[in-house]
Amino acid sequence: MSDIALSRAPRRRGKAATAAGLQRSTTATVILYLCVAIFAVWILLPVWYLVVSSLITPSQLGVKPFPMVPSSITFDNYLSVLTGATGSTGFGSTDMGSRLLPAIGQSFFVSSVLVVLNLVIAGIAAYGLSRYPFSGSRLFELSIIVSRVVPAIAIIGPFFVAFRVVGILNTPWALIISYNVFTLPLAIMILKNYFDQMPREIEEAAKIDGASRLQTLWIIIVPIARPGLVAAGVLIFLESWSEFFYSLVLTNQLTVPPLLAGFQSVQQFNWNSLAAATVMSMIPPVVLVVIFQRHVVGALTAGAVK
Amino acid sequence: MKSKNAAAGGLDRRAFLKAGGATALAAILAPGLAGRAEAAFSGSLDMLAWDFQPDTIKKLVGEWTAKGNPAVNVAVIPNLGFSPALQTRLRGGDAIDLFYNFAYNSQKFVDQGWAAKLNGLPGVDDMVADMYESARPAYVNAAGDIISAPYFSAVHMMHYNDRMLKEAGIAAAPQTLKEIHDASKILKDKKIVENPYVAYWVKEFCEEYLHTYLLNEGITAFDAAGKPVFADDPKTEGVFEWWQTMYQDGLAPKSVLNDDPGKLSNQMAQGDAAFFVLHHYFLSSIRSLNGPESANVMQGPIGGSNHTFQIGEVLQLGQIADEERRNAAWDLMKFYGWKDSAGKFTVFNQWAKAAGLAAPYPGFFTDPDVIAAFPDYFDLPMISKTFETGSKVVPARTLPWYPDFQAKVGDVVHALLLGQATPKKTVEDLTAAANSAQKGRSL
Repeated sequence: MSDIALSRAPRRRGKAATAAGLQRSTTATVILYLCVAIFAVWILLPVWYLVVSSLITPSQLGVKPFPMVPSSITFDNYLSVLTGATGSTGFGSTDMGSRLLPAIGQSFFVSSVLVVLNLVIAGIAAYGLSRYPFSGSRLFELSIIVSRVVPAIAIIGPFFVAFRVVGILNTPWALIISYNVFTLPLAIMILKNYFDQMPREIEEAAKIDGASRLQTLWIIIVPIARPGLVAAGVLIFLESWSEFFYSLVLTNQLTVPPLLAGFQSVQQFNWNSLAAATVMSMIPPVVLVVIFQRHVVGALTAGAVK
Repeated sequence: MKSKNAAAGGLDRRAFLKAGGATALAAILAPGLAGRAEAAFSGSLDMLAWDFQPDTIKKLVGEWTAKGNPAVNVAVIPNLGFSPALQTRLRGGDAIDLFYNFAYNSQKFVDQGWAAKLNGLPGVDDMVADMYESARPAYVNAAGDIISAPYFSAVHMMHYNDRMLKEAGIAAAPQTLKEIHDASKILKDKKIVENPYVAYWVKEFCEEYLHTYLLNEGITAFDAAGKPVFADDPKTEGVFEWWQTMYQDGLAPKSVLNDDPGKLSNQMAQGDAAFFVLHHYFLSSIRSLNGPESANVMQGPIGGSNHTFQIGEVLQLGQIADEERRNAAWDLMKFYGWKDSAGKFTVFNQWAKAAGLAAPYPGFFTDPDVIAAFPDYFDLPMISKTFETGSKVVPARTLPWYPDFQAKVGDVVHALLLGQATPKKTVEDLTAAANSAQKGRSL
């Protein structure tokens, strides 16, 4: 990582300073903060709408203008999602209570296993690509990127047949194996980029001290690369958490996304309950991102400034 | 060696023939009794449904199993993405004995070998004979192949706010497109409601409204062979003029191209709209929302010789080689899509309770249990009459090329509504889309 990237700009009171040390006018600062605030509202508004929708009744949902700050709130939507006791016949999935929490558990299991698996495989692959380039390795890297753009519908068929033969349809393993199609390239791209920024001198020193390649990787590189690994892990977790189509075809609503999609049936729509279920299912990934967001941003911007 | 019977009382020729005849008769009649325990198939059946009250589905098939029938493994996936998931599974060799499907996919599934024709199965002719004549073409194709059974049925209806109409001095619910336009304009001009008319005009649903509006003017879009005869009808252009005017003049809100039925129901419940055209059962949503105007919303009749659109989704039987398994699956299909062994609409009654869904059988509407299941704000005789004489299915919708046409309708109609195409061009574009789909030129 370059020294410039790690250096901090001096803090100033009253007037903000740029990284280059140039002073910014108060007006510019106000405009900047205003833009940031508008952008934050733009980003957070749908989430706020979702949370409010989960805390109001269906009739309040239709009030114009939409009550961004509701005059009264109810937890009935959460109760109905968890118990199915809606007090109304107008509810598409009456057994959602018995399905949502297990689905969150399955999503967590699939995502967690995938993170571990991907970090090991992608870590080794990315390190190899970074440190031991071979003839055609650039082409190989490009082919990894290309594999990310292949639509799921084009490759789901062979997966289905293979998993049917092996007998793992409707199990987490079907998802763990198939999700590698899109998570592994992501992890390799991030980690390769991260390893490229790491100084080779440390490894050379370890080699002089008699460490083998694998020892160097495990004892020296992995601890230094922890932020990159965490970032890649978080992104893999989020990708697999929100995956819909593989889960739809290979399982019967085993994970969260197809279960939430089930709220929108041919016969009925129940946005309040969907909002409550969505808020509940967002908790694990949001907690994860809040804990590790510093690493994610750091790893994604690694190499941006040289 | 003598048999016990012979020893007990003697098995003479007469008694043998009598017993043999009774056995043969039982063998012929028993399968015809829907849901009757066969016990010939000892395994379990596989059923795939979409996510509408899966616990109820499991309960219903559980009751069927409890009557001595095979166990049923019910798998549930969301309605969103159901078709690609189902087709991928079947193409991948998944054996599904009974599955929900969209009517527009039903013939394609038979042609692909994923679903079985039902002709010749015990009781199937009785099932078809039990249906409204208007409904039969949705399940029986022009060649006489019985390709599916009903999962649920509905008719497009006009939901209107009675209080607003009275306030505007409108004597009765509008029935023709012109009456709808005029009534909407009065309501808007008198500032009773800003955008009086709402409908689910998202791209994916425009095809249903295409038929609803054409039928409303007495135009059946396709003939029995699937030819787009709407193109030759001089009234067709007028339908598209009406459609465009409703949107361009603000009689329908600008957001209606993207709104969902939940929001539209809520607009009716809140008094933000006076007319809502969609399936009859959406009255349940409007009423159960308990908005300030919910109780004022009624369903309007289909008038004159015009028709509304009858829709419904279907059950299909998998291609099952094993005869005992097929018979068992057919028994389950009859129970689920027709009647139970006692001749009652057990499953349909449950869907009526859950969401006001209907079945395309006249007997359904006269069944005391069904009448009790429907909330009293439904006018069942009117809905029944709409099924019987006021609505049509469009048989072309089950043909294999139809989904390709259907996929294009939304784009064409939205261009019309947004003023990017004239009614005349819309007729041309839709005709071209139908012809292109029939020639196998897909998207």
